[in-house]
Formats: sequence, C-alpha cells, structure tokens
Amino acid sequence: MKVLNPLRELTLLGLSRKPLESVQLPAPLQAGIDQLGTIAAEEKLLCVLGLQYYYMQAGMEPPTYKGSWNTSPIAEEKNFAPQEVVPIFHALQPLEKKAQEAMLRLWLEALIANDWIVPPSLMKALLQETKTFSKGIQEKIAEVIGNRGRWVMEQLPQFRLRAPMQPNDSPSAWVEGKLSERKVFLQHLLEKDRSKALSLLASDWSELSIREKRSHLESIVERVEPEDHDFLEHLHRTEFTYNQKEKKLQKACRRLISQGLLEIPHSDLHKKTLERLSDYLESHSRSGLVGKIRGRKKTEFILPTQFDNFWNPEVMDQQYGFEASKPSDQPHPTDIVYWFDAMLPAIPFSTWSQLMNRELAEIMQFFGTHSQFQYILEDRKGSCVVPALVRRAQKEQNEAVAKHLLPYTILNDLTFYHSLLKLLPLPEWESEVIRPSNRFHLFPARLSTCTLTAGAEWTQKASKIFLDEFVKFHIQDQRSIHLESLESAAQFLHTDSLSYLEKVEQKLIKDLPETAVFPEPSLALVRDSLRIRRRLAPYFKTHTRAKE
Amino acid sequence: MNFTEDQIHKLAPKASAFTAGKKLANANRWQSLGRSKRGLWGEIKGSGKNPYMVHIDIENLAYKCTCPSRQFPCKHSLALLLLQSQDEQALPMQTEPSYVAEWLDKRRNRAEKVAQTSSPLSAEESQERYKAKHKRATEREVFIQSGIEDLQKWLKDMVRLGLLELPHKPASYFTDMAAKMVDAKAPGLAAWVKALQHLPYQHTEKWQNEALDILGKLYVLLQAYQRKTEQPPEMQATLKSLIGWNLHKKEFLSDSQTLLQKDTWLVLGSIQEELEELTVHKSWLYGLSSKRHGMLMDFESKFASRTEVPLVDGSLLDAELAFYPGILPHRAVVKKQRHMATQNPDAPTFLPNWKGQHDSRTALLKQNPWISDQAYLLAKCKLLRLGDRWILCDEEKRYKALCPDFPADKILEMLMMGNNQLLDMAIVERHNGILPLGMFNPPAYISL
Repeated sequence: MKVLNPLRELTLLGLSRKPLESVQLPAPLQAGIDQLGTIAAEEKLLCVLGLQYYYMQAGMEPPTYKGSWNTSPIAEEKNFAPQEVVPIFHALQPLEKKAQEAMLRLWLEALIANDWIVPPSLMKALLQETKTFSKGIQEKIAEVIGNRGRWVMEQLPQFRLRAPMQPNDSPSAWVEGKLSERKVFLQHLLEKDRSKALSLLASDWSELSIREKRSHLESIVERVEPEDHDFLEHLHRTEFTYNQKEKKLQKACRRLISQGLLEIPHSDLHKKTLERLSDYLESHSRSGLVGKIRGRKKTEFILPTQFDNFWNPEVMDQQYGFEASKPSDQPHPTDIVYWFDAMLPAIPFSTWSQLMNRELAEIMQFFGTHSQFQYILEDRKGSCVVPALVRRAQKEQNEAVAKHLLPYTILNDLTFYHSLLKLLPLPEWESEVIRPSNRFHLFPARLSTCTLTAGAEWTQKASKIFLDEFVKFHIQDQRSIHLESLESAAQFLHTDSLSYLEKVEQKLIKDLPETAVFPEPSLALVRDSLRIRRRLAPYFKTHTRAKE
Repeated sequence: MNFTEDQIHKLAPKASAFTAGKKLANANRWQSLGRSKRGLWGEIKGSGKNPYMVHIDIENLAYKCTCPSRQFPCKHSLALLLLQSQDEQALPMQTEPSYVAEWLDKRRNRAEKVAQTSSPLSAEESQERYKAKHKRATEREVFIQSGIEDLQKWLKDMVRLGLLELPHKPASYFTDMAAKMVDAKAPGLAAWVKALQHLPYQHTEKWQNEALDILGKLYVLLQAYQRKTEQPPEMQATLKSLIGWNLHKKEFLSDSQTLLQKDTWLVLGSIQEELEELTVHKSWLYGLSSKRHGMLMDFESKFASRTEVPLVDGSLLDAELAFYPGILPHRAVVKKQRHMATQNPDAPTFLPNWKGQHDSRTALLKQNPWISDQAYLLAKCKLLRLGDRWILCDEEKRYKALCPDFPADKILEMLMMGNNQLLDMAIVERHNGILPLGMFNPPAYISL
C-alpha cells in the first residue's frame, strides 16, 4: 500500500529533525489529528500513521489496466486426447527415470499418431514431470501441447521446451537474421523449394563471408540433388579453383563442392573421376565352380603404390580440396589410400557395382579384406576404408550394404558396427543381435541399436530368447543384467510375452541360488513397461507388429 | 469422492512422501485392493513379514496403515489415494472386509460422541473454574499492560529518531523487544515486532511503506486494547486474540455463545507458512448455503505434529464449523464433520468486480481494522502479465497484483484452464498482494 510521501519522509527522518506540523496532510487526516487534542508529538505521529493506513486502504481503488484486452478463447485445430489415455500417463510416474522416459515417448507418440493434443488439465503435470527429460521428448511434447500450450509458454518462459528452433519462413529471417537463423532458413527452403533456395543463395553469394559460404555448402552437400549441379559446378570452376595463397576455409569449401559434384553422375568431376578410377581396375580369372557360375573374370580395384598423374598431391588438393599428405593420426598405409578413403563417402555404391561389375556382397568383402586397405594401429586392426563405407551406407540408408558390411566393422570399431546395426530391418537385426547364448545382446550399447517405429516390437521368438538369456545370466553366471539393457528391452519385448515373463519369474524363484538377489525391481520394470505398452497398443493406427 | 493428484500432493506431509507414494501407485504392487462408498483399502508388501494393511475413510477423511512410518498420511495411504485418482477401476467395488468395516464404524461412533457437547458442569464446579480463570486473567492483564507500555515507548523512540536507521539495527534491537512481549504474555505483539525485523529491507520503497503500515496498525491496536473495556464483548475478543490470548479449542467449543454453522463447505484452498520454528497451515472454506467464509488454522513444529486431519482442497464437506469469538468471526474449527459431500447444493455468490471487493473489504475494515487473510469470491476475472508482475483483472479492467511469490506452476494452471477467458475465482487478499485459491469451472471447482 502506498504511503503519503510527506508523511513517509517525516517518519523516516524522525520528529527530532522535522516537526509534524511541517507536513501538509489531506483534510480528513488533519481533522483526525485535530480531534486528538494535546498529546505528545510521537503519539500524534503514530496515530496519524494509523489513520493514514485506513485512509489509504479505504480510499485507494484498484488501478485500471490500460493494455490490450482480448478474451477470445484460444482455438485448437486438433482434438484433445480422450479421457482414457490420462490414466496411462499417470501409470508412467512410478517407473524409473529411463523407463519412464521411454514409455512417455511412446505415450506421446500415441497422441501424435492420433492427431491429439494433451488435455489442459494434464498440462501442468506433463510440463513439471518432463523438465529434466531429453530434448527428444521435449520435441514430442511440443507437438502435443496445442495452441493453448504454446500461448501459455510464450508467457511463462520457465516452462519453455528445449525444442529445436522453428524454421522461420519469413524472408526477413534471411535478410536480418543471424548466421544460425539464416542457416535454418536456407535448410528449410532447400527442402521445400530447392531451386528457389539455390537462386537466393546465388544472388546473395558475393556478399557472404567465407565462413557462411562453408556453412551453406554443408547444408547443400548433406543431401545433394542433381539440380545442385550448375551452382556447384560454377563455384568449382570460378571462386574455388586452386590458389596458392588460399586460406584453409577456401580449401574446405572446395572439398565440400567436389564431394557434392562427385555425387552427381552428370557432373564433369564425377565423369572424370570415374574415368580415372577405372584405370585402376584389374581383372583376374576366377577358377572352379565360382568361375563357371559368375563368369571367368573378377575385377579388383588396385591403387598404385607410387604417385602417378592422378594420385598425387597436386591433383588431390587442386581438384578435390584434400590435404596434400595424410595427417599423422590417420591409420591409412599411404597417402593414396588416404585420398581414396576421403573420396569414398561421396561415391554411390551403384557406381562401384558398375565399375567392378560385382555383387554388393563381393564389393564389401573386397574393401573389407583386401590387403592394400589393411592397417594395424595399437589394439585396432582392419580395413581403413570401412568407416567411409559406413558413412556412405548411412547417407544412402542402404540396408543391403549394412548387412554385407557388418562382418568387417566388428573387427574395426564397434561404433561403426553399431551404426550399421541401426540400418538393419527388424528380422536381420534380430538374427544378428538376439541369438541364443549370445551375451552381447544383454549389453546396453548393442540393444540401443534397435530403432523401431512407434508401436512396433520384437518377435515373440526374439523376446523369448532375450528372457531366457536374462535368466541364464542370473542363475548360471550369477550376474545382474545392466539396468539400461532392461530399460531398452522393456521398450521392444513382444507385449504378448508378459505370460512368458511370469514363467521366467517362477523359474528364477525356483532356481536362483540362495546367495543371489532376486531381481524384483528389474522384473517389475519390464512387467510395468509391457503393461503400459499393451494399454497403448490400440492407439497406434498403423500398428507395425513385426512378423515372426 | 475422487481427489486429483494436486489435491493429494497437498495432503502429503513431505514432498518425499508424495514421490514415494507415486511409486507405489501401481495396482500391480498391491496384493489386494478394494473400495466401498465410504472407504478404500489395500494390502501391500513392505519390508516386514506381513503385508501392510492400509485403509482410508473417504467420507470423513482419515487414514490408517499398519506400516511403522511416522509420516501422516504415510506413502501407502497416499499411494492408495493416487491409485483411486488415476484409475478408480483398479480398486474394485466390494463388501468391506470386517477389519475395514469395524474401523469405519468405530470412527462414525467416535465422531458422534465428540460432537455431543461434554456434560455440563455443576454450579459449584463452574463457580470454581470461573474464579480460577478470572484470577489467571487478572494476573496476565498486569503483565500485558506493562508490556504494552514498553512497546509504546519503543515505538515512540523509533518515530522520534526516524526509521532510516531501521535496516542497520542489530537483530537484538527487535528480538529483545519481541522477547519482552513474550515475557509479558503477549505473543501476538511479539509477532508484530518480528514483522518489523523481517521487512524486505532490500527494497527501499517496499520496506518503508510496510514499516509505516505496521507502526500505524500496531499503535491503533495498542490504544484500542488499553480501552478495551469501552468496547463490545466481540471487539474485546478480537483485541485479545490479536494480543495473543489463545482460546483453547475445548474451552470455546463448550461455550454456549460460540457461533456454530452447519453447511456444505467448499474447501477453497490452503497454504502453509513457515514462521521460525513453526509451520502454520491455513485453509479457507466457503459455506455454500450460509455464504459464510471461514479459515481453519493448524500448527506443526519439530516437537508437535498437526492436530487436525488436513482437508482436501477443492472438496466439499458437510460439516459444522465453530467460529472463534470476535467482531467478525473468521477463524474456525470443524466441530463435526458428517461426510465428504459429492454434490454442490448451491451456487456460490460472487462479488461482481474489484470495486465490489474493495467496498466489501472497506466495510469489513470499518468493523475490524486488523482484518487479514480474508477470502473473497470474485466474478469474471482474468490473469494478465503486466511488466514483471502478474495481475488479476476484472471485467471492468480494474486489477490487483498477485503476491510476488505466487508459484509459476499455479500460474500455468490458471492460464491453461482459463484459456484467455474470464473466470470466477476464489482469492485471498494478503498484505503483499492477491493469493488466488482456485477457479470455478461449473460444476467443478479447481483448487490451485
């Protein structure tokens, strides 16, 4: 409550410095003082303070709001999720954090699949619960909060989601935005209207800094399209031709451009490169039955051991933007293998099929085992071109390559092996990972490579193998399975394996040595998750149940 | 009666108990579950040999659990309530097991007995009690008067020397005077002194305004108390309560003059405040037929737990409230609770706007100048952001600011449920702003 200023000043200073009579009070207060008669000044002032409190309380009406006024309800385009899904959300809460996150993701996906938004009554619980969850979950939440949720978040920044930056389609984002905003704008435009994006880039190109140019080239090369040809070709011939005094970023741009051009079959660079590569193809005779079936000749790609007129520092640097020699931390046996490796991610697998006239399986075997690519570095050994092939397989999302390349990655580096596992369709993934007596599938990193669409699940057979191995691990090895593995498995086990899980529990109770601990929390986690998944299953319209 | 998760959260004695309860709110963890019209029950495996047996009286809220926890309600009781709130079907409707029926019947009988006023004393006993009480009161009055004199002197010194030095005063300046008031058997006055000690000294204008308000109100109180014999008995009761004369619950319940009100009470909302080593729980109730407001208070400390079973915000209860005597009876206790009601019998009456609330409050201030924490029902208002503050605006665009510490999650809920529209609300006007208690979304009331 506000206080009359002169009275406040007087009370702050004190009557010893300023008399009460020096203050001009409103008439009603003055009248009140007059009624007090002759009392000590201090008492008088305290009485005045009392009077002024009630004077202000009674006399000061609430202020008027002068801002904009709108009481139209926030309209929604989507329907609120039906009441039946609310108890499922509440059932997630007793789960452990990771399992809860996985099941919450599924719950959100069920809403998204049905084009529903979260009922307003659940919003507070959802946002409070999920503050600490991953960005992925928050992105999904952003999809189900509806217009009302977005409107509320605009007003309450503390509840804002860590969702990705929304692409701003307004041309002002390109003209006035920061580098990151311009990049997002261009990426979005490249997806929506590639030719428009390229012409916009071409028109403003001269005004861009070299750093920004590199950034936009990365966006283009990420998913090259044939129509990028003219733009890239022009840059390759003009601005980014080799220059002795060029800076590092200039060279980096040339490398990006050449990678893009290599992927476009009608580009000069692609044609010329293929022409030169074909010079290194060598045919050998096949013998025996294989020769009769597959033809007598087999083609191999053999790199020279010495620099020649193609594999030399000048061509590699000036044409492709590669380093003139391999950096010391690279495992490649020679500079030539290093340059070839740098070229590989840009060359489609179909090109190799054409050049070598061999099946994909054979090509992968060649690259994976041929001696010219082999290296031994500390505890690692294998083919140094396999990582580049994995990157290409990821770019093409090539399931067949992933399948054939798998045996060569496991020797090389588990990271690449796991990257390829992620590309496998479920039947292949299951036969590769979930095998009887294969303890590896009980480990979290291996299980995390299972990438199923929402509502999909492992076959009953694979689920049974997993549960059997889980029991063996406990009873025979007397070891506890990693909680993360169970959290992953709980997301994918066949929902009909609930009854088998009960049998597994019985077996554990019966056979578990006295010294071992009954894994009740682990089993409860799987059991509860399966029950939630079973409740959510009807909400997935395109319920993709894996075939046995 | 089904509670919402938020309501159950408020019932939890600690956040950890609620979290633990949530983990157990899973039907699969329970060995048996059931419900009847008046109770919930379940058996859950604990660390002991036998499962814990949990039963809850949902009509006249009470809990019983065989677990050894000292928390009340324990995590098992909270879990059972949560289970019911999440999925009522998880607790099948059944005939009450004998042990549950027995407990519920016992509670009914006890409630009936408590509600009956204690047997009247004989004339001789009454005379003796009156004499003893009068003697104690006279002795206390002497102490209080001396305390008031000390306090008046202290206040006079303060205004003579000026308040500018107040932020730099040592803590003992306030604590010594507060201790003097406690010694003078006037703990209510000690609280006023402590309020001066704990002013928001980091905000210059705020502390100065608040200090002047406190000085004014306190001085008027001291003056009025000294002349209390000139006042009607109701005002005397108010003044004594402000000074710190505590009336024992038993004492005023047995007084035939005590104001009793039977009604269906809507529990508008509740808060808890930490006052040094004491936690004060306040709940605001509104009588749907009588249109009367009441406030229940309960206290908790390290050494003493709450004496009353907490009420569930947003619930309706058929009960008889006994009001503490005073010029505007406001603080009350539940004398007799018949059961939790499920039907809302009458629509509440709302003040049309802030102007109406202002007039109503001014009228109350005229009768009781120290009135505080009064609840109001306000029609058609809207939550808006104004700079860094949240305001509650009425249809005529008049507004009052919310208390600065009003939690953001409650603002989120108000915005979500309000959907940019005008809402009927229950609020409390406090010294530092408006405290929203809940929203009316007919036929439901959503407590915050």
